[in-house]
Amino acid sequence: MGSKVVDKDTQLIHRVRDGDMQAFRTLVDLYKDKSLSLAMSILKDKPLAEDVLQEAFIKVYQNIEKFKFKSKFSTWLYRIVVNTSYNQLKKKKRTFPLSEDDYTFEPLAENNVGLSLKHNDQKEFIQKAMARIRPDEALTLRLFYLCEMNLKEVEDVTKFSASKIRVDLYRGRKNLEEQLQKLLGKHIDDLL
Amino acid sequence: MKDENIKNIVEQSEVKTSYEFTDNLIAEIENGMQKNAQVAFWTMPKIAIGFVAVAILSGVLGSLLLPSSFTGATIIPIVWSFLLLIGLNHLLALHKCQSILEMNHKGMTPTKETLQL
Repeated sequence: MGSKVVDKDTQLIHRVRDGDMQAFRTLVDLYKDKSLSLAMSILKDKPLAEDVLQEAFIKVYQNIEKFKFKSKFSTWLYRIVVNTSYNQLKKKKRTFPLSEDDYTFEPLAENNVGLSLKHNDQKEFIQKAMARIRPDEALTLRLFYLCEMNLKEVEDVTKFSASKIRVDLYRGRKNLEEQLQKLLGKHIDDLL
Repeated sequence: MKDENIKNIVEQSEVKTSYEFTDNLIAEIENGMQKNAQVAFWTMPKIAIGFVAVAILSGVLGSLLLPSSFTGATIIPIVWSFLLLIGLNHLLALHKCQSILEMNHKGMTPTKETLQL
């Protein structure tokens, strides 16, 4: 499965190098959601994260000739996305947490005990919880679980040390659970 | 919480891009390619070739057209300065065009400072 994805990426990259814009479109469609999730881990602001993602994909297009196939395309792409996001974060000097909406978010009302969480948008709660944990922790969690990267690949993308990645993963899991507990209370069991 | 539960939860945290994201991105790349084709600065080899060509041409023209009393006189640095100023003016004009194009591309109105460059 993994090697099939790599083969498909390789073919697409060769087509992009030959000037095939449709191949680039396919490449973007394959990776845009995971890449946006990584940018969101750092920036906590969707419009800003989309702008950064656009900038990152433009860099990928302009530098596709420089990709040497020494790593997976996804590792190279995510490295560019993460770098561009951290640069943007420095520029804007944004503090964490960012969105005013995060402060005003209402926990699930206790009088809805009879309602299953399935009636609410689970994803929304999870994304809110992810937005409330530190950027490095959210990024590491998403690279490890969402992008299914191993520790070495996470290290290649983030340039964090292996020990920091382990600590971020541990704290990230703990903080995510805490935030979900705060948001959902006893409804947290509906997620499991 | 078990590792598999965390994995399941984090997988649900994927954020979807807006519907028109890919179209906007492709349009942005194509516009950029068009803009680069419209205005291009000289590359270093071109500048080097131009420099040598101007040196030879000015030497030949100087020896043919200038009276012998001027040869090796103060007129030479003046001519060179004049040529350099023309070159700089050309680069600034290109830069101005590029700035205006970039601003138009972003839907912004060029400022007075940009137009004065």
